[in-house]
Amino acid sequence: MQDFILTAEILEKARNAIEGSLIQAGVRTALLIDGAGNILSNCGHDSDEIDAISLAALAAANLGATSQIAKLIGEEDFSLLFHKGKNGNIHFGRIGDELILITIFGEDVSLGLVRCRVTDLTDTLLQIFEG
Amino acid sequence: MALIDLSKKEIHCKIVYYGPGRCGKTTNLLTVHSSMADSARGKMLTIETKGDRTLFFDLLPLNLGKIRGFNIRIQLYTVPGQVMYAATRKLVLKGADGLVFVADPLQVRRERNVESLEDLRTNLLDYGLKLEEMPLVIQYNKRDLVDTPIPTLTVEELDADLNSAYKVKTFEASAVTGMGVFETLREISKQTVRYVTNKHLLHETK
Amino acid sequence: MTDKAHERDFHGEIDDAIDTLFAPHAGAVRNKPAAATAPVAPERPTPAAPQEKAAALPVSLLSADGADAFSPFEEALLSLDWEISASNIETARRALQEIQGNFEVDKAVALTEVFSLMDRLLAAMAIAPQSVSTSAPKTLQEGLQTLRAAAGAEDLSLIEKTLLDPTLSELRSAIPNIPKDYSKLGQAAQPEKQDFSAGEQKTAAAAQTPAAQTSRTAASTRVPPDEDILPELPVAPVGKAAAVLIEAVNAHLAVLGKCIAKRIIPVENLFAKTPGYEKLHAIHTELRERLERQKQNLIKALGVNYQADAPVPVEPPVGQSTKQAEPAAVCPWQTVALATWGGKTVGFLPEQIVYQGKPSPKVRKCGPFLPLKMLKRGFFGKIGFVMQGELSFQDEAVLKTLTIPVAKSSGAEAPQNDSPLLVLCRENSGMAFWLDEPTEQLDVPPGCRWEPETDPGTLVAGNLTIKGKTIPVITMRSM
Repeated sequence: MQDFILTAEILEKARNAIEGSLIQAGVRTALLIDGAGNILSNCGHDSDEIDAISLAALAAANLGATSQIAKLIGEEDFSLLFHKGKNGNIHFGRIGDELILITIFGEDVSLGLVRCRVTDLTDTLLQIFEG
Repeated sequence: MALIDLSKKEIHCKIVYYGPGRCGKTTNLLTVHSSMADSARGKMLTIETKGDRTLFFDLLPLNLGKIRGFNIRIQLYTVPGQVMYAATRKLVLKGADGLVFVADPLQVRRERNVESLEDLRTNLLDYGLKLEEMPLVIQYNKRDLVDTPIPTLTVEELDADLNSAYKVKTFEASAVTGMGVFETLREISKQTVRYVTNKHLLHETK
Repeated sequence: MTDKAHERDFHGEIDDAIDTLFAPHAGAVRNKPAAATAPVAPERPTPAAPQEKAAALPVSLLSADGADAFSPFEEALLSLDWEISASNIETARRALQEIQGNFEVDKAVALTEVFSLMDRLLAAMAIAPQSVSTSAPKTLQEGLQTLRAAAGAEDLSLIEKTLLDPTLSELRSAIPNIPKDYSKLGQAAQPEKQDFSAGEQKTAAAAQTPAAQTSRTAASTRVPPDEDILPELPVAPVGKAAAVLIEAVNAHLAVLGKCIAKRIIPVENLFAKTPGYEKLHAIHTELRERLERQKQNLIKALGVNYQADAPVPVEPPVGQSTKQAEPAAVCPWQTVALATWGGKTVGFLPEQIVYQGKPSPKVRKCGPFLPLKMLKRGFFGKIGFVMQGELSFQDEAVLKTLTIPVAKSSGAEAPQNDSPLLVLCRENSGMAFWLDEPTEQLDVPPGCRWEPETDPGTLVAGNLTIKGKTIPVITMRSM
């Protein structure tokens, strides 16, 4: 596993891509993390209110755990990871092998459309991080 | 896998406490958490499960302060020790930059120590890492039991079992009283930060 | 400082920082880890303040007539909320049509715009989900609630302000590329609307809902009045002339329908998907809608004489350039640029030539692909300066990214040191040619032989025979 070296330029590009696609569409917070639980980018309206470090660690572990669960039932991995709450929802998306994009959004935002946007964003982010 | 954020001038390292079940990994983190100043420590995260075993992991983020303008942040993780949580244990190990192996001195757990260290070695290999090339210290925990009737292993026996191959620094500790906890942490922090910065920062700050 | 010393220094700094951090606690036991400092359990992300619920609907309305028809649409919306897929959208659109069909005629007419905007929002989700507001399924839910309320309401004007208007404005704002002045247009035209006879109003409304052709006077039509509305024909014309006219109009309708379905909608969808084409998309959408209204008007005017399955008149196969479809044996162009390429004389179309000249020697090594930026002159030169025709208006940033394939001649030789370069371009396609000689303009003499090429896979549009010599004419066809 390689160490991630983030330059201001890469981060700026990633942030712009995420803000342009998700935050503008009404997603509250989008967190880009790596598989070890490190935070690469934290965007959104209430990004300061969330304990991002814990969230990132748990999300990384959660994805790791679910992918193990997938293997137990003979699946490679699950394509949709989503938790629904009363007022807030959280969606986890894999960006390539190393990165995870976490989106937190309210009741008024449709999961289906968030998924569309995350899929779109995946390619953009992969290009930014893999060059 | 360290994260180096050149824009915020931050370096994140991950140190994992490894060892057999009930050897005192979480207690190590709790001791660190309770004795550090608020400014230097983050919120300790444990995943609540029934009983006192760690099912997933514990996390304690620490802020080391600045070195050459870079903020160094360390995240301490523990793995679940019980043999049956092999999958989660391996997950937490992902991206570790430094390791503390916590050994249990109870006579009855002698085998467990050796098994756990071997488990650590093979899990790292699966991630393409060699234990002998990584920052590692070994902690002989529960030294407070030596003076009790409970049969414990001597340091020599532990050395022979666990450190004959790696020859790394060892610390006698008692996580419940706090003895040796910070010595262990201090040493592994130095080794890990050096290990990460040698790879990336040394040439940046010349 | 030597590397070793530097490293030692650096390590010293690390050690100091770590020692300082842990110094007060080294070895010392400050206090036993007490239960009081128990770790904090993971916190849930702070939920935002609960949103205010949309205006509650009178429950009594829910069991009113037509209410059963709502559940398939409701189910479809739930699926859509979960996953935007073609089949989910299709199910929802069908269910929506079903509801429209089940409505009382009066109300269906009055609610035309709600139905059509909802359908349009669904269509937009199918084409370009990225450009649709993320609250679209929620907006559709609200549309559904409004329809429900309308189904039970005795008089629609009672819920016009409280429900219909807010729903319409929400639907409009959820649909991408809807013209900003859309609602204003409707309002500005209001006074005009009163000039229409009741019959005409009926026509306008019926135009959008064929299901409601037999409508009585609509209570409040929300259809923006349109200049395309035909005055109602007084009496069906009689006689032979009329029969011919009816047949012609039916044929026209068949062609119109085909054009809308096969030509206009695909382009409209393409525009919707392409960032930067929002305006064109809006124009195109408006065009389609006006044509569709026209079509409905004509159908209405034809009345019983309308033949839904009128034969499409025989016409030149669509897709083939009209230039080639012109009467055979006449060259579609008046001038061609003649040149020798690969030892043969060929013709090019002057309007497609975007570059002609002798570029610097390094360009000759470009191989099978020519990046246009190689053609710029001097360090501060711009590509646009050396381009002509279509590409001279193109943005420099776009030109910089363009790479054009180089045509392989049968002679397959590397370009000579002085061979001129010719670049053709049309819309999205381009091709570069290393010529043997520069081009020469030729006015095509009338009466010369022209054989259009039938194979669409070649760049040769046809063969021109002048004074016994056959010249293939190479053109770029747009993609």
